[in-house]
Amino acid sequence: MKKALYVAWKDTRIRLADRGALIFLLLTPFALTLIMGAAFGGLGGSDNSGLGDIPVAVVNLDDGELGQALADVFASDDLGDLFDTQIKTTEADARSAVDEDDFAAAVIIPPDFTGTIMPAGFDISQGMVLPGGDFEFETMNITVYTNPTWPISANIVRAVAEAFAWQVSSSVVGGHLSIEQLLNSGKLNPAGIMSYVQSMAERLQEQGESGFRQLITLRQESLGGQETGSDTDWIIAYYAPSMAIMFLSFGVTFGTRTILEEERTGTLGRLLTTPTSAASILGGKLISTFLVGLLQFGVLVGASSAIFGLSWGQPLAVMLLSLALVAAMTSLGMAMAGLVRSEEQVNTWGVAVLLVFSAVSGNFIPRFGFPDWLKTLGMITPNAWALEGFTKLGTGGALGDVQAEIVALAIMAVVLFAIGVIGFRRRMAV
Amino acid sequence: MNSLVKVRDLVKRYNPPNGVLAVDGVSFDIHEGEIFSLLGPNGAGKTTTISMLSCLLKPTAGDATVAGHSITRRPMEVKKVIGVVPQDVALYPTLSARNNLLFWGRMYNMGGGALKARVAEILEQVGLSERAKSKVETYSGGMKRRLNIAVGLLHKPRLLFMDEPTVGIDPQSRRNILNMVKDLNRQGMTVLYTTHYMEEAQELSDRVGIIDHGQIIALGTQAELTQVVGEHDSLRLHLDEGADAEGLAAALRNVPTVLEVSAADSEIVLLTPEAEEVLPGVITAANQLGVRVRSVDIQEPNLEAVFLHLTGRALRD
Repeated sequence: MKKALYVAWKDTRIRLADRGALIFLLLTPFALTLIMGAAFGGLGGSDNSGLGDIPVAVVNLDDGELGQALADVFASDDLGDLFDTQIKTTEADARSAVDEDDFAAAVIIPPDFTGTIMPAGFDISQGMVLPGGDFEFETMNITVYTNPTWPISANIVRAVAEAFAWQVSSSVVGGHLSIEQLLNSGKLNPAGIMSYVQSMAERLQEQGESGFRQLITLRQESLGGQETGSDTDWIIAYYAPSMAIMFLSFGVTFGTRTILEEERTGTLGRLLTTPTSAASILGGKLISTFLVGLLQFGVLVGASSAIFGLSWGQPLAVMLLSLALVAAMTSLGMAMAGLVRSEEQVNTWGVAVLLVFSAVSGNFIPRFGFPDWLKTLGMITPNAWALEGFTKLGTGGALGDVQAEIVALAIMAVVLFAIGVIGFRRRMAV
Repeated sequence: MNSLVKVRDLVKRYNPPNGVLAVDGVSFDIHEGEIFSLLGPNGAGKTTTISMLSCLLKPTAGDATVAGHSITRRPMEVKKVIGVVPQDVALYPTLSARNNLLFWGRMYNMGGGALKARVAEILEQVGLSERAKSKVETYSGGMKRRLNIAVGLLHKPRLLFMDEPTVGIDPQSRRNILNMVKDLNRQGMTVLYTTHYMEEAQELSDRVGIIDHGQIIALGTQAELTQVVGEHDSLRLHLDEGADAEGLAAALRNVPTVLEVSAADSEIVLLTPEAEEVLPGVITAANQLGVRVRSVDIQEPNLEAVFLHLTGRALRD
């Protein structure tokens, strides 16, 4: 064990002194995250990111005035340039339209929306609580079902719905306005909503938890079943972990290459003529690859939090998922080292395998739009499991939500390690 | 004499059953305290033999013992006894010389203050103390070679394997290395030295094994080996670049008293009982073919002559 640590220390020193590799492994993921953000997030002119004629489906299941007011906001002439709104009659229709990638988002106004927001004991006509009135405010969800391939557009839909919800909440809880007064005041008309969207961020910050109670909450569902209540920029939140995972896999192949490089330069042969077991040599290399991988991923997590303001989620869960991911990737590197014959092979099919892994796991393009068979295929990769896990954690998931991902990565680590050991035994048996 | 190494019928075939037969039933002993050289051309099986003895390659058949430990059954015990200087420099170029030595010392179970002291001592011995903290990648070829040897000596092994340690270096570095080997031997270290340079084997060795096509074709002291060719001299002709050495060699085979002829590049080596007598005929033959002889060396019976006598080829063929 002591010699394995010496080998690990030596390898780690050599790898951390390789500035070119560090730049590739640490700076490139950031650059690619920004490029992906620009390409898919509307900064680069993507067809799906235009800020006009955003296709939005609205389902109004409420038969009261508030539901109609919200539907009218999206269908109004004032927002006609911004939204291309279609009214759907059922929730299933609206969701299906988003699933088929025809719409950026669907706004689903629930049944009895008005009646719930204006409870019994609340005199709508007077806009005030009657003396002795016995009622409780109830919370109601407006669901915004978003399409991840239209991230910016979907966020605009969400922001407008959210602004509506806050306007109603603040006014009704304040007890100063009836619905009629609300409508007449202009606060629920499109111009007022847009004005509110712009100032909402500041007001949220000012009011914080001490602000008034919000009666209408916004429930965002993303195509693919992910649910989020976060305001984090979706693009960065998706591509930062994607790029970190992909470059971790490339970092691991650098670990692989150290074994093959030592074989080529003769230092591995020389090591094997010393009274040091092959297990110690291999173990040391694995420890180094694992530690450097963990360091690389940790730096990417920390820096993306600091630079992009990205929340990766519950720290303990992020840490455990990261450990499982790095272990799986380390074993993947070892399996590669055991199976390939030369550094050239790592450069050719090794890199090809990693790129395919990255593609099918959604590191380049989100998997939500993949056909089912491709989604299933993607789950053979550590990348996909890790991305699933980090997406869950980034959108508010806890440790319990990513247990399956951690276990899957741990199993991959064990299986790939075994493959690597078998491959190495064959290599050494000369 | 006490044999530190006993090699018996050692065979190595790569990718059996149809792969290359690199070593074909080699047997020899190395006595404690001697310098034993394996002399042979490139591809003769020297490196494969030394790799099996250093437990890097598994023999296809046969066995060897080093200090009484079998290389097939007790490899870890063998590795504690030996030091290995591989043919190619095997160091970590981005680490300093000192850090390289500290790492390799730990691989040889050394540590603490004793290791640091030994590293300082060996750096002094190979003349690299002043560059100890420089990265190896900044070293000249000769400096790398010296450090490569230092790693093999670090743990003061009883037996040192040196696999063609002077290939591709300048004459001064080569001289330093040969002197170092002699010094180490004087201090009691047993050395197995492989080379295809006849001069090195002659200068260093107590005994020599001549190896060709994976087989030991002659074995003994230099005096014993040269008796194989009797009182024959070697005549070495240096020709102009691009001269028809093969054509001249063919012609020289017809000259009376010329026993063996070998041509390589712009050199011809021939074996004859009386070099002075045959020389005029050789020059005449060259003139007739229009080949200009730039210089001629006449050597007493030597290992080159032995190899030529046994194989019909020069060592550098």
